[in-house]
Amino acid sequence: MQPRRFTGAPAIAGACCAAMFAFAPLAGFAADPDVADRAALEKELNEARAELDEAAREVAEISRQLYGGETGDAMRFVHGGPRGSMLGVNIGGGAARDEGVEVVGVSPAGPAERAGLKAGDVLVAVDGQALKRSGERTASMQLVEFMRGVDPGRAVKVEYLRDGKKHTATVNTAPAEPPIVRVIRERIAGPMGEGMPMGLPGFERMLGPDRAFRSLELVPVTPRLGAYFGTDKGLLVVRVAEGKGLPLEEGDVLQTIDGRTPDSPGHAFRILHSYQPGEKVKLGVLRQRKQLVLDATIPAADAASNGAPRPRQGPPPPPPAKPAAPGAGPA
Amino acid sequence: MHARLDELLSLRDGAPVDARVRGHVGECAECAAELERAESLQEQLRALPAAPEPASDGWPEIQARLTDSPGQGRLAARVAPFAAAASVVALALFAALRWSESPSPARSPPQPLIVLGSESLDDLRTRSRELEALLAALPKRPAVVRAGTSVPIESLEAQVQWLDHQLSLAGAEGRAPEAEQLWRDRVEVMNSLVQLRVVEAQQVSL
Repeated sequence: MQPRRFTGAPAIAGACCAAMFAFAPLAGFAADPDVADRAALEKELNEARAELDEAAREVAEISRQLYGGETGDAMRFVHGGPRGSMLGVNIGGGAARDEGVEVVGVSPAGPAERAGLKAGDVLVAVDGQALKRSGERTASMQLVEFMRGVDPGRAVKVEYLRDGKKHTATVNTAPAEPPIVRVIRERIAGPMGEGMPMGLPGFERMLGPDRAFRSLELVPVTPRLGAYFGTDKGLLVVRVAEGKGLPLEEGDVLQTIDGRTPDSPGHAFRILHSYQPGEKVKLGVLRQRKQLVLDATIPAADAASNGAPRPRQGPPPPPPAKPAAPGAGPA
Repeated sequence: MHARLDELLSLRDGAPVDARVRGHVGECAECAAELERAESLQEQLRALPAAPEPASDGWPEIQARLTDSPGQGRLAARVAPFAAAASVVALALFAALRWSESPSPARSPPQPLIVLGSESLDDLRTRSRELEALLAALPKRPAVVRAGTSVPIESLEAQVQWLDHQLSLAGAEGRAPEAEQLWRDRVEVMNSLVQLRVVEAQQVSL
């Protein structure tokens, strides 16, 4: 699959600029709330969010342009499996070296960045294998070939030079596959994954701003939050999606989606976006310290309103007097 | 190995720099040109009015919040620790100012951060590094994550990662023509990512 000509960014840039423009008056409100008209500000905020959603639609368009335009192309990647793993670095165009591979760039929020690597570092070994030119095989080629043989997601130990000093880091690699495939895999991993009876939702739904979910806000449960809610795992629902969305309530702790445990808000959104409208999904939640399994139907995009945030429902509910007995209520 | 951006900026600002780096920049035309460019940016910044006219709305206000001293807003406070890398923030300021170079009506939207034309491969790499520096200067992403903002940001991050993988393959296998288009894609996707992150930070500041 060859990369395609990318033409979506200017539109995204325009939408982002408009969004920033719309946010600017709100920044003024933050500085001087006494002179602000809150209703007008809310309207501005909603407009800004609509612009963001437009930008997100362009993100879906990028995927179409870069990866073939049809989910069928992505499915070939899914069936063929990832071709090794990625460190999340860009080594293209670095200075030619006999020893080591220069990191030209580090992918934002990627494996290498999380491991502390930076642009300018020089990778000198991976899992103990020195990266040195050998005949016609450059150090870069050796790194590329090594990573092709790394099982997707496996951790590798890299040795690198920074300011002349050697350092080591463990990088939890990512499967070498396009982003769209990551979302498709979320769907395949579900209980109805075999044959995917409902089909794939399409690029826009998987990567775009699904109107049914876009105002949903989640935060990982921290130890202090966990003490309040009676769990140390899950994602706290801070704000629910408006309209006839999922049967979540603010204060719920979302723990599973069709048996999968989301490890971050982003992971939860990817899972939810991998379903088609009308598909059934079971949500494991902790509500008032009681474990529940909620039967939900993935709503259609038009089930939600225009994305405007609803007023918050007030402070979280007080914790019940007694914690639920261990094991009470199957999740 | 060429000097890193932070080393060049340290050189420009008279901060301590490894003698080997200083020596390299003295001998390397590419690094010397980069240093000259950084100096030029600084001169342009100095040439700006000391106290820009307060803007009632529009990008200049965001720009001010990104670069204000601590205590003048929550976003500014979040950015403040990053301002320790003052040169990077200066670059951010300059890039931001490009949005408001021309006097414009109060409600006219700012221009995109980067508009690509027929840049050379070296130019594209430079733009890419600048965008990485901008991204690094932004506050960390918020703990509370909104789907409408998070999904496109994480999609763009994943796109950059995939492009980096393609660039690595193209570089190792000597596929130069393909690499140039990939670099262009990377700059454009990074550009969108930076802008979405700024918007997200602005949301947090509210």
